[in-house]
Amino acid sequence: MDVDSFVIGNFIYLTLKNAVPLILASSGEAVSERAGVINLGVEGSMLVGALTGVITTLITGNVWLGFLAGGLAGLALALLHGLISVLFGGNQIVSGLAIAMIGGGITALVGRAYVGRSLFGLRPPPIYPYEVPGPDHLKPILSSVLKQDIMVFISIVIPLLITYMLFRTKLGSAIRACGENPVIAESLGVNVITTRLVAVGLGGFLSGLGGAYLSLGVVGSWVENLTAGMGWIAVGLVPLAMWIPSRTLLTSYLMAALISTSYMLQGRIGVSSYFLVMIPYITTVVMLSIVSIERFKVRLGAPSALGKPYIREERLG
Amino acid sequence: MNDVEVNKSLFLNAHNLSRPTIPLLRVKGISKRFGNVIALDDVSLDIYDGEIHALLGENGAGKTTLANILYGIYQPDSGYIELSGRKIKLGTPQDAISYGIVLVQQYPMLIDKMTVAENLALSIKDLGYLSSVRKIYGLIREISIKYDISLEPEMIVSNLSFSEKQYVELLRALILNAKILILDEPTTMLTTYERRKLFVILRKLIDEGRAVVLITHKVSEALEVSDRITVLRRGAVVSSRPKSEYDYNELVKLIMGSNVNDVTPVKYIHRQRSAPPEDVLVIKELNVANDIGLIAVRNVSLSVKAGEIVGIAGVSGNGQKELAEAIVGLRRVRSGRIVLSGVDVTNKEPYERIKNGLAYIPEDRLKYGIVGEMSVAENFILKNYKAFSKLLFINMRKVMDFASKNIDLYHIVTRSPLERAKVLSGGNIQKLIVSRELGLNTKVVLAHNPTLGLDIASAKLVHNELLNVRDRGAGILLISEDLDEVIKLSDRILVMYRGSIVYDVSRDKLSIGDIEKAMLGLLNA
Repeated sequence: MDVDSFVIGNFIYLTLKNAVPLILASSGEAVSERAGVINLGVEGSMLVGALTGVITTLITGNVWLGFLAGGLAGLALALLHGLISVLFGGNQIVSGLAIAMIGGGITALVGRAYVGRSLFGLRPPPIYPYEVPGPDHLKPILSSVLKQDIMVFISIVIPLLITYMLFRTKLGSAIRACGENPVIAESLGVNVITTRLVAVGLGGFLSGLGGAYLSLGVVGSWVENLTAGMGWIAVGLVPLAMWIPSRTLLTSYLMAALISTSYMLQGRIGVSSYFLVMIPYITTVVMLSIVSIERFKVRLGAPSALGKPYIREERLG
Repeated sequence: MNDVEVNKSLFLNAHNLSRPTIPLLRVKGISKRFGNVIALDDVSLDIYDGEIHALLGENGAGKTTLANILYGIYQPDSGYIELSGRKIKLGTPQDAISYGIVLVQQYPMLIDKMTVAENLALSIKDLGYLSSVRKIYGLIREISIKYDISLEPEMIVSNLSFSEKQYVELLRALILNAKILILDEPTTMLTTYERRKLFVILRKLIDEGRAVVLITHKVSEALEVSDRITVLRRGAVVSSRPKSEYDYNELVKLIMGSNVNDVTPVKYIHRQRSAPPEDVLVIKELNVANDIGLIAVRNVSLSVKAGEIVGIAGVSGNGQKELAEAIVGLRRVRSGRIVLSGVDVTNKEPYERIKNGLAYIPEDRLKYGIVGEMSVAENFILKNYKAFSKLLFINMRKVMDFASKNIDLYHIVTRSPLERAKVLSGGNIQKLIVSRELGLNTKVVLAHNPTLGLDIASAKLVHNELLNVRDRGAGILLISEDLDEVIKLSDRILVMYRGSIVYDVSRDKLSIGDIEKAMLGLLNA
């Protein structure tokens, strides 16, 4: 395959776009896990966000309301996870898996009426709607950046803001304290239940927003199981980013580059397209296995109380 | 601050007590039961501002229960509390804080991975959730300078020493504007130097008109620092007077009551041997990493002979934990060798070491010493259950007999051998562990802080058992943060600092001053 500026431009364009849902979902999940709550329901929140985004945009004709509604839908589903695992102290893994399945089930059912409905004219507009300047051979590369919509840029700002929140503010300290040792956090004056719910909710909102971007910004319509495992990849990227939201930018762009490559190679080289599509998932599994080794986990800075429910103890007497 | 200054200010502050009329805090007729156990029985005492008030008693005397009631963690069954003559209700710690009563926990309750400022920020109600933690840096520096505490707000808590973590707790109390500070056994893990420095800070606090309640089981400490002493025994106040009216022996009698015979001191006899016995534990150039992969034990070489106690003194966090875990086999060794009775057990399973006669009295008794959910009887036979088994079955009758015998022998207080081990008190759990570990065919004993948090009687029993097993010919490696204990028991004393053995002296040549300097890294080797 010939590599020319058109191919490069296409690659950059796809990578920047594909990274958005990953960035949003994994930086949101990083916040949730920093508070000690692992949310495997990201996939579900993304699906719900994607469908709600499509429906809202079709009804209101406003894609920004679609994004907002998508985020709120993701938030609602994540709060169900919060209800079970934080408020009732249930098992986070079981609850998260259930949330992922509920999200898949509901959207398959409700979304049937919306499959293939075109969002023509309702896509987020590019930030530079004019003719791209510059010499012809550079135009594809320039337009791969300039023709992106504003969400691509917002998705870069959000992890930076969250990182500031997490590591510089009192709220961030409270969230991390809940993830390190909820008993001590409580004794220092943190309301662990509320703080964890806030973190899970924020994670859910960003997952929903990422899902909405997938339907409204990337694909441009709704199909069943639109995310196709994006949510799981996002969960896998969190340990790789060492639970630091700003680093999810790096991991997400790497993963998105891999995804774009596997798209672009389909039909162009003599490898089954099924195998090519598998590559991002295999990569996630391999990387997760490596970072799951206990020694690495400690060194990467995994929150000590990750996955452990906190139940306020009734005192003796 | 140097030693001389520390001493001077302590003496200058030996107050002449002129009693103000209304106490700052008055506890009146407080009783508290837990099930059938009476923890506090009609306790009354007055706490005055400008005084350090020692709450003295054995473990289980009710000191901590009383502190928890004052901090709003427990509610009393009867009785009341008055602050400056006004009745108050302390339903939660937040209530207590709002009245200016703050408890400084025995083990600092801080998030290790966060900075000093981040930890403190969590307790400051006035700081908005989205405001930057940096806003309180100035406040922290200001208070640190005022009390001569060397802490910076951006220090990570896990890098702090135990006493520095305690200072963070003190800072927290001061930021919360505490009028009454309750300190629960604050000196357990401190060196003499650190302890004196803490007392100087406490003096400063009361000079500002605050009150300090010092919970302790050490008579000498109560006499050293307090202005007034209240003695608790079995949940009741047996005496509450100014310090000047007590002497050491009277206090010991008051604390122990009818058990006073239990405190006849252990006879720490150090034997002279003629022929040099063989080494039972040899450690050669050992390097061990900590949880985050940094070297925590650096080129440590040592040996323990049969019939000898080798003590390792040192401030907590200088590699003792990693060294102990490496010897027991709970932590991998980077390089070096561990030889038990001539058998190289480096990086072998713990089982191999137990087989070669290693007994272990762990620092964290609940986590590594017992299985809390199993019965006392089962815990007795964890290591040699095979002796009680036929084929696949354990002969429970034999186990029960064995357990009952040991419970009597070691005066373990439990309702029944079938009681879950975790409900026992700390002292009784330690007796259980000691009897199990030292009863076996023991050649080497690794004892890590074996009397941490124990009362006098239990500590004495542990010391006696260690000396007995030494006399039977076992070699003992005693790792302890309690310098007195190391000096009392050891034939040879080593000091560990930043992962290395920096000092090594036999008992007839020891100088306590040098040991303390070595512990703080001030000795030029």
